[in-house]
Amino acid sequence: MMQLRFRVGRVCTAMAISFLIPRLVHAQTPPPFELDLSTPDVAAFTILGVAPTQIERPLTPRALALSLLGAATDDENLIPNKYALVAAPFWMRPNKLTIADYFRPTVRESLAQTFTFSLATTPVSSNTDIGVGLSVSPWAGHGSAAFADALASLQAINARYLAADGLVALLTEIANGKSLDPLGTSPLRPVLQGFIDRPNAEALKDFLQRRYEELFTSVVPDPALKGIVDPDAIAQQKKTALATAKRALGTAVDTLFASDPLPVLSGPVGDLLRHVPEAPTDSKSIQEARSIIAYRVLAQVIPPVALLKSSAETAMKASVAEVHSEDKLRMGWMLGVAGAFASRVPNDAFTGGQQLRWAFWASPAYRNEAVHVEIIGIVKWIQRDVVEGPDLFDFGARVVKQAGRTAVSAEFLGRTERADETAPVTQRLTANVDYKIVDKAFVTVAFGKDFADPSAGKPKGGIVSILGFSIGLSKNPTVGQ
Amino acid sequence: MKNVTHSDSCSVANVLGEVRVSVTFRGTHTGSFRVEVDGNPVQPNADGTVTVGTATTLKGASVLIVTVVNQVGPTKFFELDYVMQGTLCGPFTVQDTFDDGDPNATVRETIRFEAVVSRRSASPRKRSRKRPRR
Repeated sequence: MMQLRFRVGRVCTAMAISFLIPRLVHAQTPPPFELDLSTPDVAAFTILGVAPTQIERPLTPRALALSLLGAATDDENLIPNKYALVAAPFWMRPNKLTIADYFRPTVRESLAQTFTFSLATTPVSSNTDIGVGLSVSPWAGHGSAAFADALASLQAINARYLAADGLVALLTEIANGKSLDPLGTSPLRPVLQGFIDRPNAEALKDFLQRRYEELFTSVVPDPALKGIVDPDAIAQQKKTALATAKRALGTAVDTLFASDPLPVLSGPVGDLLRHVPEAPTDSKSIQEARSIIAYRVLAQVIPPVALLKSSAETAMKASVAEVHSEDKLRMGWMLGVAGAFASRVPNDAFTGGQQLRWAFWASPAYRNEAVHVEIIGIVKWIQRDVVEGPDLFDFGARVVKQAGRTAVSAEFLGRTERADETAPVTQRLTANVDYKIVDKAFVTVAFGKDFADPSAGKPKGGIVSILGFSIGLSKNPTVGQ
Repeated sequence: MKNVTHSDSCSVANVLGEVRVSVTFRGTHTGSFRVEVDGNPVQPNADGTVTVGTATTLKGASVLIVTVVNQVGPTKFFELDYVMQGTLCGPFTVQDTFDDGDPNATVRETIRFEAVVSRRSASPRKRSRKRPRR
């Protein structure tokens, strides 16, 4: 058995470099793109035989991703030297699909959405092996309940934002124009007129809270969410959000009236309101003074309402991030099919490339959301060049248990050779750990026993020990319209 | 947040009855919308449409549809289709992209119901050109 020389210091250096690379790329590319890490399951890596796992987890495709794999842990250098570019063309142009088509795609939609092209390279002595892979899922599963819950929360936040946005716009228009005309024939116009005639906290609170509620309840969620999101879940979240916002509006008005706005007034109206003896006290002057102070108060209440809007905007951004987070893994039955080929290219003669092998494989999978366990099977046919050895047939399964930031999996693969029917079945058995260090930092480690390969001087199989990480370049590719 | 403003118009001659507005979010994204008629918010129907009026009440009226779009799918392109049930107008379409680093956008679509047919009015179908008599 091979003794691992796994030095902590070297690993730390490699990790530091691995995080430095995306930062450098980030700094050089204006405007900044979103980094989005995903597990390094790439068909092009698989055909090169360098993937940490042989059985890929079905994931929601990204428009464009870059994967880097470090060398084996017994190598002297742990700097990544295997690279793969993964692209899903469907997401690089506008599409007409609704969220329902995305959440629960038909076979046709699945095929279009999951078609992925990958290109990978790995150095082999003085040559470079190049892998090209295509993969697609006729059945891509469906969005999770957590994904649907995140969408419900987002709808409630949208209502908060749209209501606050509408209220800010209305108050600004009224305060600037010193007129209630923007209210048109609204039933709330007499309510605000009452405040203009006799400014007081209760009248203003009444108007603001009723108008906010009117705007809030007029917000319509995306009709395509029917059948995805439980309407009661949205209603419950909206009820809570509305109550919270109305309380905030009431507090804002109380705070405003507690900080006496009268000192900012000057001239005879201010004198009147400050009860200066020589100020005019006729009813017209009093009414004019009240009107001025009322519009002044309306202008002063805009910033706290704008704060409601900006806090909703911040919450909306966080909520969309939560939606993306819950969108990583699809649930239910899935089927992935992939094909790939690998060629060896001498470093000094690109035209001297030689085909090494090609493969075709299918991976049925089932993922259960309740227990966070997934089972993935695989059957794979590998056609190899005569120099590499006989053609191979692989079969196996992988069980993955997700627990928080960690995904632990065990993978078994059996292999038979076509040329020799009496040849024994050899096995590859590995344990894999994927760990999300921070929100966008993902490391994967694979360790176990590899296939026996007598032609390569490994009659009993060698050790599999791989450290890898993956970087999503962008799920929002900058493609011109 | 990105703000997009857009406007369209519809002749009241193309209004067939009760006008109901709804928004279709495309691009595998989602969002919410609200509707104002002449500055007044309108409460939605149970089916997710919003009744804005009839030919009589809409003559010269302005309908504002404020929409917030949230990026869900892995593409930055989004499209909003404003469907005008009960009219021969539309659907009016707004296409745009999310700003980098911001997965939300606000779109303000104003639809004016014009009393007379103008060049900007949406026509339900293109008129076929009559061939000149020989």
